[in-house]
Amino acid sequence: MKINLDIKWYQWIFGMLSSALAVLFVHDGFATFTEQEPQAIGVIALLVGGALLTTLCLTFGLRWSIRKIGRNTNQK
Amino acid sequence: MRDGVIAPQEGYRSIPTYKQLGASKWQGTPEENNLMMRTILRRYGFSFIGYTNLDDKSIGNRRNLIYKNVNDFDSIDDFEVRGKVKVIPNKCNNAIVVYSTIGNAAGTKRGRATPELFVFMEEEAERITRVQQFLWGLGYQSYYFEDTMGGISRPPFGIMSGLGEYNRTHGPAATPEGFVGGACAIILTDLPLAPTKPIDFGVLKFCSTCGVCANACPSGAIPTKEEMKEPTWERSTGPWSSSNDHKGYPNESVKCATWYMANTVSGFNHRPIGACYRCAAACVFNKSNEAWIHEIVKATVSTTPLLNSFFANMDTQAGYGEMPSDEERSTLWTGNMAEWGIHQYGKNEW
Repeated sequence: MKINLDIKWYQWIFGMLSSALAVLFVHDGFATFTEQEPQAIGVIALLVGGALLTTLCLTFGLRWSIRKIGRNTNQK
Repeated sequence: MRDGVIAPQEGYRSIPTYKQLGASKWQGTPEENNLMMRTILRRYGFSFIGYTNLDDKSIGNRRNLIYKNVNDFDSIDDFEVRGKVKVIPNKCNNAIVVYSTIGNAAGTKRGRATPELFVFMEEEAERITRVQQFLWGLGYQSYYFEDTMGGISRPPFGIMSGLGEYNRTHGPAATPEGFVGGACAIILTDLPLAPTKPIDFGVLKFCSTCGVCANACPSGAIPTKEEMKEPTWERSTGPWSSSNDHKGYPNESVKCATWYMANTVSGFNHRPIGACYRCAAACVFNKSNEAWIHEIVKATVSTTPLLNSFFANMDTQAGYGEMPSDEERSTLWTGNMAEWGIHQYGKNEW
């Protein structure tokens, strides 16, 4: 079976970064309960979750944006 | 003279010594003794262990840290009681400095103003007597200065032995492992030990832009970051305060003690039950080690001060320094408490 994946180098970098942040987010989310400090999850969501969303956007959105810009340039 | 709540300051000395067993005296090198004592102390449940020497005068006379109205030193073979003073032999100049986190509620959120700390104190004293018995069996004397008891200025020993770093809070050294609770327990002994070095992992630099402990202090004994950013040589604040011979934050011990005595339950023993420790509990460096984010923050702070102010603000926003509600505190009596009670590492209840 052949899998046709077209993944650019920067998608690998941001993708791995996103994965690391996702693991950190999930782990620390549960850790706040273990530490009996569940109120801290809001700040962790803001800091780690915010960074995770940014890297996810860069992983998938950047490629889409580049393609869109490319299409628009070709049409002109 | 001040003996401990559990045992005499010199320990029970009730086990057979090497002479009685017909063995030769243990004569290890200081480095070997360090490892040996680390093993025995860890076996008895002590978490962080450091060593320092009383005769190291590189930053001043360390023997002055032991109050002369309680303990003094002389060139004698064994201790003597002279009036109200217990005189310790000069040869006992090596200090074993330990922090115990097991059962130690100091610095934990739920530990504030509860009897938990008092229970811990007795347990720790019991464990220290076993260590003293071990030393006695080897042929060495030891003298115990209890965690949070008078007679000695304890926080400097935590700093000098490298267990932690000086900070804005009212006393305790901040350890890189995430424990700022309580003072350290100290054992003076004639067993040769190699001193461990002081450490710098960015805490004092952090304190200049933080001040969370000062905001948490109910008595106003700690200067806020608005009042004082950097440590100063002018730190004497009147009676019962630090002297101007070393740089630091001018904490007002009288205010601290007055609030503490007036707001904790008077106990049947010679001290009040419970403790305040809001400063230590609120400290940004006082954290459990469950969440990886704490380690990331500490690693960043130790290498660059750029994000210090941001981290201090985020810590406050996360509510780490908040006092527990009455409902939260009451769970001490209804929750399924962890073995050995509240402690810094691991869960407070299972």
